[in-house]
Amino acid sequence: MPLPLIAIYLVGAVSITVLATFWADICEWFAERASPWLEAHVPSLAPHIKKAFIFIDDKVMVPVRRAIKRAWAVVRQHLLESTVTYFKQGGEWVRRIDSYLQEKLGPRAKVIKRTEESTVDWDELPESVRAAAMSRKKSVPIDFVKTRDAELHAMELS
Amino acid sequence: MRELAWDFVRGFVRWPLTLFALFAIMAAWEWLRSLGERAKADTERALDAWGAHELADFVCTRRVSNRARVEAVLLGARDAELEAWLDEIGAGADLTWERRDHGALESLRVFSRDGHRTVARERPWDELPSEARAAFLRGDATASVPWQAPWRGGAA
Repeated sequence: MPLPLIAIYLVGAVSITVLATFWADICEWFAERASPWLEAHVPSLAPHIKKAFIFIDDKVMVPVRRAIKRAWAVVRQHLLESTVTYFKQGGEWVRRIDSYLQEKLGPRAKVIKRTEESTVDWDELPESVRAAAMSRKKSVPIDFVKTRDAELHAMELS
Repeated sequence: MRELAWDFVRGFVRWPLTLFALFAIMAAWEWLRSLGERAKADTERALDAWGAHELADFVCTRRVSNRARVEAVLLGARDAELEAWLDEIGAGADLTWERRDHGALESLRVFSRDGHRTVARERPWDELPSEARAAFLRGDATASVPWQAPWRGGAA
């Protein structure tokens, strides 16, 4: 893939993620600050800008945010626990993902444990893991489910 | 001649890419449209259910045995006798949203000729109906929607 296309894809993906995460904050800012400012300074353009903003909110951002929350709720029912652990083995960093999954729901449903291991370059480690490694920690566990829950909770409040 | 041949090759490579890009844009638009419709339908269904539940609860204080049936009628089931009774007692409801941090305070006022009752709950931005979100983005601090009975062409 050519470099400009990769750059456009990356910038687009990051922008959409940031917009989706902070959309409620952006709307609040628009309603409280931008909307009165537009009315006062560019009254001829204000209705068109508001209409465009309302369109993006109604047709893109809110449906996408709701779809993300709905999808995570479905995954969360089946994914009981998932921990990502980074540790050093023979001079290399290894990422181990331990997941506990329930294919069918119910009290007697079978719980499946799945473990995956792969080596990771120093550059690919998350920042928190690199910081922990610098302070000579040999293993860094991250609760994936808790982290995603917190992120979606923040999205609800943002 | 060589230039012409190159133009032909370039055109051949570009056209499928252009068509693919157009197809991708149309698919993305269709996907967003279906997500939007589902979000709107989910919000309306949840609001109708809440409104019908509260209104049935309010008007059925003396006719408790009919409560479930009244709620069903308020959600669109046909029953001429109950519809006439609800019209006669002046049963109705209206919804109001007051802008709050990251969402709104959603108030439901249910009423009849005997009086009224208001219940309220905090709702996040994404759970608000599009009318309320649009009103807030236009700069309004409140938005409201009157309820119309299903047998008179209401949403339920």
